[in-house]
Amino acid sequence: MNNVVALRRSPKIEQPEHLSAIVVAGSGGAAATTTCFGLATALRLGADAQVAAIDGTTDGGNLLARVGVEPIDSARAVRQLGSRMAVSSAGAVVVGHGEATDSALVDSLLADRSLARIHDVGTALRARRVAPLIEAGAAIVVVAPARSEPLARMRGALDWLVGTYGRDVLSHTVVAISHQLPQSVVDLTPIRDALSPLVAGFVEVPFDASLARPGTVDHRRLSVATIDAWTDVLDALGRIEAGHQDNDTADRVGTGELA
Amino acid sequence: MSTDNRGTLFPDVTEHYGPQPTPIEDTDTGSVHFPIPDETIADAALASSDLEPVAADAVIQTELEPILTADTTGEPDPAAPSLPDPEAHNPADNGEAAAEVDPYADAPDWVRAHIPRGPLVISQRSRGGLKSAIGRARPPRPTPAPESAEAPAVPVTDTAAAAPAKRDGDRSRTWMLVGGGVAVLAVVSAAVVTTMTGSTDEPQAPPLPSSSVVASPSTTPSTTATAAAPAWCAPVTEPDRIVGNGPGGRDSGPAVIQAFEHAYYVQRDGKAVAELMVLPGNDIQSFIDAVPAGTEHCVTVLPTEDPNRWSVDVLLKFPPVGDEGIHKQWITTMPADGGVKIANVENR
Repeated sequence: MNNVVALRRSPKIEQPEHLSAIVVAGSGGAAATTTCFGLATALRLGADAQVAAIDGTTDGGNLLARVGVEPIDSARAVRQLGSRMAVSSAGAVVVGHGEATDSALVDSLLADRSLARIHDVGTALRARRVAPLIEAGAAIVVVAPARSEPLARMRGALDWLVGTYGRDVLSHTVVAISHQLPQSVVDLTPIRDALSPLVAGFVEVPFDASLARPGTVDHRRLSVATIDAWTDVLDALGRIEAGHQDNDTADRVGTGELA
Repeated sequence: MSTDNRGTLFPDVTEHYGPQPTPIEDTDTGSVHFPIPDETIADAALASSDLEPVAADAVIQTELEPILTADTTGEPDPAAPSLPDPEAHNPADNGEAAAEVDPYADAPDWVRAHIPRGPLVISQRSRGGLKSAIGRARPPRPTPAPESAEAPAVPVTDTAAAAPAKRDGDRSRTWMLVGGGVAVLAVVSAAVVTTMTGSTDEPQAPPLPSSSVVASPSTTPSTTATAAAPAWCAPVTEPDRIVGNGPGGRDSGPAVIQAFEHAYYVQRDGKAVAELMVLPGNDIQSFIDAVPAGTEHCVTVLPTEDPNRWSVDVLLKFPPVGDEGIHKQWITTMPADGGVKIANVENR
């Protein structure tokens, strides 16, 4: 890596404003929230993109409390999301959890404002309200901590995705393993070997003490390696998006331009 | 989805805590299961960590350290029973165990980790009970850790084993009574219900709404969320968002957009589509025919700053397995012929 030249490399995403991704976990404590925040931060910093991190958890996640540090100015606020909006230290829009939130609605509201959308869905992968996003082609980032049992549950989540949406779903799925302790207790080689040919990306996010600490996360305390890893995830999302556009073109040829 | 190693995607991995190596002999006997060969790989990969100096706090977690403690003190450490691993040797055997361990005191970690635990293993395996039967039925055990973890049961032999059994017996009898009561209650209430409802042959549940005309309850999804009934395209009519797949109309932009998509995906009628357009193109019917029959659609219309321009998402569900896609469009509408018509459709 040429980290001598640039501390922060840009993610390879052609049109960030078209990015819609959900971050899901097979188990609790898998770093879904911090990964959601991290992807939004890396996209904001690396591509100077307008991006929203959205709390899409079922039962009230803490994304807003964790990373929303400044009030949003009224010009950028979305009326329907009102008091749930804030801005992170890196300038990403943060949308907190709301009662009866329709993830697809929030997605389209923010898409209309040309924001990239990254949804923290937590463990609610199987929730009905997440399906429209996946069906609409949102990329999926499956996260797990680098521990044996949660990894097995991540496999369960992947199996469920394949069983529900077909094997193609893996082609727009990125696996992000977060190291939540300074040293790894598992060797991820067999998992990496097995998944890399199937999924759009397999990324290990290194341990970062500033994420392990409770309280508000400030992107200026994150290590370069951490942001680099998130940028790797974004690269994979960019590849997915590029593939999608090809498909869209094919669709248009097939069904005509009208609808 | 079980956490068994039957998953097709990748094998289970083993956690390694600190400098204690995983015994190699287990991997030799473990050809039946997937995870065990993987431990070999992991061991090979982690060889360098085995060479790291032993951290003072990590040592407490190794199996042999407490034995060495016992060796120096010569009597059971009062603190030792609270630790999980030292319990591998029961307190009564402690002095003896210490004597056994002595010859290996200078040996490297990996040698000491392989000192056989003969007596313990045998007593554990030869003891009756479900747990040991299960243990025998399972071919290999991945690590010796479970054995040492279960070892605390050894010193408290028959009395301890009998006591919980007796308690279990009492408890199960209690539960049998409770269960019997519940069963009687269930039978009685079932009888009451059947006598009360048996006279009327009316179906208990109202008929399900058809998919195209979703009944009003589904506008409040929270109350119907538990039903298997469709969250798919529940109609929403708000100033800022219109969702639905109904026949629409000509009286507003969103209505004509719904009518347009309805004509396209439900009626599949090129003429009907053309009638809704200011400047209909050619070959509309052929475009429609290219869409698989039975494709379901769901239109979401969002207003934009331009009152005649709409941000439209058409979610599509294609018939064989319900593969889905989305068309994102800008649709411009304009008043024409005593109503509103589609002026332009662009991909977004």
